[in-house]
Amino acid sequence: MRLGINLGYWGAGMDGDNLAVAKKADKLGYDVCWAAEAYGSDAPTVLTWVAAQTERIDVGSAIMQIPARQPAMTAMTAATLDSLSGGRFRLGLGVSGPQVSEGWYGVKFDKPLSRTREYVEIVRKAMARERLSYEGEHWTLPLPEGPGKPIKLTVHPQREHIPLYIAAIGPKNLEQTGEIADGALLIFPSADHLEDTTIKHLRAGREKAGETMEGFDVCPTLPLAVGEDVAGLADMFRPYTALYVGGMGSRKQNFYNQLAQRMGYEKEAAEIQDKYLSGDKGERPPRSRTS
Amino acid sequence: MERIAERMAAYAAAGVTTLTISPAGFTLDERLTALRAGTEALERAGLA
Repeated sequence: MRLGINLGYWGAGMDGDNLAVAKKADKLGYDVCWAAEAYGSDAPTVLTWVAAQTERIDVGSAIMQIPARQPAMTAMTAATLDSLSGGRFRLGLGVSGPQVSEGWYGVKFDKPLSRTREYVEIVRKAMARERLSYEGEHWTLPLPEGPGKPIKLTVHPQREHIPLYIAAIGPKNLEQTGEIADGALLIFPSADHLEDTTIKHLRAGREKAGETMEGFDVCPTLPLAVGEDVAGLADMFRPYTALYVGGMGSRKQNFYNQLAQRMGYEKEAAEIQDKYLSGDKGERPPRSRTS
Repeated sequence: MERIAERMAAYAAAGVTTLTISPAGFTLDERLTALRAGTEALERAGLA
């Protein structure tokens, strides 16, 4: 098993420390350094900064948001970053969520599965330096009856194939990820529940593509803290867990809450969400089972 | 450290191929300690 680090979001006053952590990870032999993106720091800028100051560690987006960029732009960014970093870039993509997609980017959060599939197909075509033409439900390239014509990427990527990951939580997204991507970016994984909540869906997708799990990168992010007081260390992560399980999306559409339910934590997930959405963010969330 | 190594072994057995950590801490030193613990635990688990 390989190790990666996730530096999260930047621009919140810890950038110097983040860079020091990335450089140390590079020296310690960590395989990949990921950077997040929501509605603050953008992943490519951060990764370029890190890539320029490290030597061997791969740099990856976890994620670059699909509603934030046209697929051709993502292909340009991926090719440029791969070239500048000497072939160390990994492209992680995700649909984000309805509130960010529609509120921040003004992009309707509809049909995320087919949108992701088309997006990945266009990105791969563009990165392969094909003359870009595409007819889909969400994208048509070039636009018909206009001056646009099929053109191809002028940048020559460092590698023919840049590893492509998708952030996935729900069963259908996981299955599609297994089918069309090289790896899956996961959150809140439980080793005890991973087969049922995640691996079996990825495997089904791989089988659809005529592949096995061999070579597919199953890549969850987990917090790691060191100390003797396990309960006290777990308390560090309760607010973060409460934000995602209780506060993300809406009561009806919270992917992280649904994941917790699929793991068997229905009661805890409901309680955390009730408290969070009723404004009870100051209190410590209910003590949940640690695994 | 043993606990971290055990959990890493559990994740590897469950099918994880790259375990990404967010090294937690209130100071840079604490985060670097967590970073070093990651590689040490991986070795201790026999997964390096």
